[in-house]
Amino acid sequence: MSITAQAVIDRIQRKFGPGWEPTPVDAFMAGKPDTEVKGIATTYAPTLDVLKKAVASGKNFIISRESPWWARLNAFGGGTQFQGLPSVWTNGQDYVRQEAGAAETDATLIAKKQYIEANKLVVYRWFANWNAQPVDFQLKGLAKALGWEQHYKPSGGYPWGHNNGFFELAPATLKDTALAIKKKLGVKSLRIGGNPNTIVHKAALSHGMYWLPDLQKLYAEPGVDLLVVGEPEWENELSLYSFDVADSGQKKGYIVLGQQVSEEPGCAEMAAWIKPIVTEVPIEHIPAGEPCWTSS
Amino acid sequence: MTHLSRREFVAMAGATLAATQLAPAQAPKLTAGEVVDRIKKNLGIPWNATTFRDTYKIGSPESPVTGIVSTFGSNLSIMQKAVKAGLNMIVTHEPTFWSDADIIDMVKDDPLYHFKLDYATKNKLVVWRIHDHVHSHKPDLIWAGWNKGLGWEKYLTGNDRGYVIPPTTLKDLALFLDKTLPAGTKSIRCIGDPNLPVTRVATGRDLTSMGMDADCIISSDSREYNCYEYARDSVHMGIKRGYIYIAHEAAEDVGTQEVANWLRPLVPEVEVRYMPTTDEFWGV
Repeated sequence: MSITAQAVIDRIQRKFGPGWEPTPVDAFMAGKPDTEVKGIATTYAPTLDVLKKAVASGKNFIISRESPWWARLNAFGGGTQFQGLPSVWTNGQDYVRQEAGAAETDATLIAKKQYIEANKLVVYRWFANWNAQPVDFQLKGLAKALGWEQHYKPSGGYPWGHNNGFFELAPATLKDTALAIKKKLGVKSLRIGGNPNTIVHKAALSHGMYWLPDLQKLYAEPGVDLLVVGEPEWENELSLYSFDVADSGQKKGYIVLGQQVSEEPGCAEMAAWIKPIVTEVPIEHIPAGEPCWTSS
Repeated sequence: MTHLSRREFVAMAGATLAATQLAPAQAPKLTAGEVVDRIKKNLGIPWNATTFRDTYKIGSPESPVTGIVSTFGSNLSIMQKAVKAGLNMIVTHEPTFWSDADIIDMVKDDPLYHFKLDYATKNKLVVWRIHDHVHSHKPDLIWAGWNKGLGWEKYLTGNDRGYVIPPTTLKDLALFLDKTLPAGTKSIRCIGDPNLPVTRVATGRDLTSMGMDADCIISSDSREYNCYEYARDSVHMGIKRGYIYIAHEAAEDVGTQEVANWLRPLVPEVEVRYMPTTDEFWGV
């Protein structure tokens, strides 16, 4: 039995149900939808490295959280991440500039296009609708990766819903908790704010890009003394908010994982979600890995 | 142009100071409004009255000024240090209430907003932001401060954001920045071969600047999901280019030292002190 990339997406939409919204984000970003699928790889980012690993293991269909072309501008109007934010942020020239894509003549863009064409790969970005599910699988995947599932203490609301990632941990210092997180996630670096000796025990966990309203909601949860988050939108404002929290005398810690580290485990959940409905071909999660090294 | 030259102004301000010393009882106190007026008159460019950034965040033109702090971000820790130093006017480059336009609607129910505002009010602080105009100043004071702080003025290639520096490696350049920038760069992150030879350096920020023709791009305030992913694809395909990502404060804080140097002669009545907004992150 053979299956095309389009047929895989049709099955995903059927399983998803009637709430699927057409968006410019959830779309084929490269390749032909009628390509016969030999295997599926899910990933946070379809980097050249991930594409090569997919090819090496005989997979030609990549379903990714981010775009192969490194831009999110197409999220305007379709994504959920800009909803409810003041227009002074989202309409500003500065913002549009931040989100602009690479030039058509860019050497890296050309090389990546050529690699995708030469290997007849298909890349589909699944972002907005994946996020729109009542269960936040990105959150659940990250909690699993941390080994925190059994410590989950939702704050009312929908279990595993968005901005509902609260956990009762064994009390430990911020430093030891950070070390445990680093080891568990296998990452090279974490960025930590707050006094290393502060005892923390109730964590608010988040993933991906966060904005001021997200931070405020997480800090406002009673008893929360540790934030573990993805990537700040406007580093100078949001990290400074957390430094101000600490400098106001509150005994709270703040750990920034980074976008990829915080989002990759959820992409394993994506593979697990698709597996039961596509039995014809192998499905595997290929992590993009941590992008950076540190000098210290 | 109606504004005074810096020399004329300093001479006049010096005369004012002398008069103050002779007759302290009648001396009008320096106000924040007077400081801001002198800044506007001496910028050498027309003041853009529509800016939402370069405005009072706490206090008003009538607020008396005992001394001035120039810094990157009006963090609570900077306020605390300013109070301790007896300098009550904070001239900040970046926001006070955690959004670019200091949108009060977003924080009016936030206890941290009230804590910060109460602390500032109780200690008679005045916070005024100058961002757009120090960047528009000729030269851009923030970049002038970066060049001076790194000792890189002599390596400029003409374009004020490109340099040819003595041969080094990607890793050593990262270590140099860590050691040299007053804000520190504890959250420094790199992409590329640590041993990559580097001499041509460019500075960038968003995705469109990540493909510049240079051995190394030093970047701050960059988004990970686009810039970092582009960077590692470039490196993976064999382009000999490295990337050093530093915190926003690490990149611009050093420039606020230049703002202090520029401001000092305009307000001889009080101390003007550069106070680094340090990168407060640590790692394990």
